[in-house]
Amino acid sequence: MRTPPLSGPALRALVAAAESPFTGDLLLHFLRKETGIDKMLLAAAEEPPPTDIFPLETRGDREGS
Amino acid sequence: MSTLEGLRRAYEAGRSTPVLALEGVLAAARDAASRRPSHAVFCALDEAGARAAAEASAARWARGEPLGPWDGVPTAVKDEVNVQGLPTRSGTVYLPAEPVPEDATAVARLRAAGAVVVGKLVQHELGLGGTGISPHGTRTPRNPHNPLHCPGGSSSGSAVAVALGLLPAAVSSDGGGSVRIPAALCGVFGLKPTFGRIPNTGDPNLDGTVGHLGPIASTVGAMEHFLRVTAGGDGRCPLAARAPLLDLAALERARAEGAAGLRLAVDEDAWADADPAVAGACREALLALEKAGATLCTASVPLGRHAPALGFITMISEAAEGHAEEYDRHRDVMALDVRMALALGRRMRAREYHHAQRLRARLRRELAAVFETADLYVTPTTACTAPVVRPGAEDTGEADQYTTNKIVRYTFLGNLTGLPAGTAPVGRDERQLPIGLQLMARAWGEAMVFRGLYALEALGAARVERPAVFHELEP
Repeated sequence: MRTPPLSGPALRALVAAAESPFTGDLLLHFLRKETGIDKMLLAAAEEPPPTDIFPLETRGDREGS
Repeated sequence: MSTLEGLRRAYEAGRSTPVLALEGVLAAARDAASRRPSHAVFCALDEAGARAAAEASAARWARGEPLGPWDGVPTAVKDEVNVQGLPTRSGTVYLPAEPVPEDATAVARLRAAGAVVVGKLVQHELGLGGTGISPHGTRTPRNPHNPLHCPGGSSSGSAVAVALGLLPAAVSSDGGGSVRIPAALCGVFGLKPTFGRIPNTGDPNLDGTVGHLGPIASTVGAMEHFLRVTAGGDGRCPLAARAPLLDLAALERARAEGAAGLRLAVDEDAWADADPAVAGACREALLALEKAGATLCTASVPLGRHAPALGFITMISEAAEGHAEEYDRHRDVMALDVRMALALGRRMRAREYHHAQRLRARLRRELAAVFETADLYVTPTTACTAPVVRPGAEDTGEADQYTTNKIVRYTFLGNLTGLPAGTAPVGRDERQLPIGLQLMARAWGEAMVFRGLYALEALGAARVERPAVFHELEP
């Protein structure tokens, strides 16, 4: 389901929910679905730890002189 | 047109001077700001400093001693990048209004090359948005090709200024697509170099693992000259200290090599996510390259579909940490979409951030595999054209996750991998909204990106179209 674009009072209410200790995690739950983070987390389950957290540092494929 | 090359020819021939060009920029900026809906792009001007620089440049041209391609060329800088004597407010109303004492390294290098720095350009607040919609100051500079629509972000002012002809090139930054998105949505060129190619020194927003400085420009040549001037370590940015030297010979070759023999990788699964008009225009550009001798091959980057999610987790987690003080002190005056992003970033769990980095490493491996048999990985720059500015959006900011996912569908790949990526304007949809094609190369392979961009430009497959309102800097 597509979450509609929000602004004004509706977005203000959503921000209040995000900042509330009672509803913030619930909102994050919906955000995970909306952004695909939930699927991404499933995809990460089998992944080994990153060996090159810092981009390119260990790639060894630098060009140039 | 308003191009770096055209201005140089005009200066050489005595048909214009840097002083006349600067006056043209200032007049055009006033005109753009007076229009409704507004195209206001500047949030701060340094008219006195720019005039002094233009006069010094004019004297050099009069003596026949210009410093190079940038001498006398007007440019401007995204608000979050430091310009000496002007404030750095990053599109906010709460960061200090006092002028900063020192240029960012990239800005200082452009000045040393003779560029005339006119001022600061508006942006999406804190760089945390892909639409450029802002409730602050002059609000949103509308898309030059259809003022009912947004310009894209976060470097909104940079792209609008170039598309309107106010500037041949602008200094921008890109943490999730913030150079390439507005460049594509406004119909101009943009480049995000390899992570660490240009020092981040002097952009306080770029302290995470995804941010880059880069140009938005009206020609590929202007971007190449930008990179030549700004690349390389400055002794202060640890990222740039590890970068290899720019391959100048490869850059020279890139201008003339053309498309023949170029190997272009296409991931059909990824392309399926683009709107039909976007995919259609991008395929026509690929067809032009293919007719000129490029070969298309299929590629698979399965994790690419998760790039927006990986990017959001990484970016908003890092932004929530980097802007913790601003959030604590000023959230009541933040645009609501930005406040929301920071609030959610504070709730992200370490586990989620860590998982995102695991997958980020795999994403880099997937793309590295593509470059074993291809020169460029090509996608649309965005999956949609510029969204409409809805009523009320400029009053508070707007959150639209569905559209945002489409805007960043392909751009976050470049930030998460650090690989260089450029965007070229390859068409417009039925509402006259521009469409961009993204070309991505292996690490430090900016010359390959330029080769593809130059080929598209030479073939006429990429072209900067004039909007209805256009300001001509060249006589």
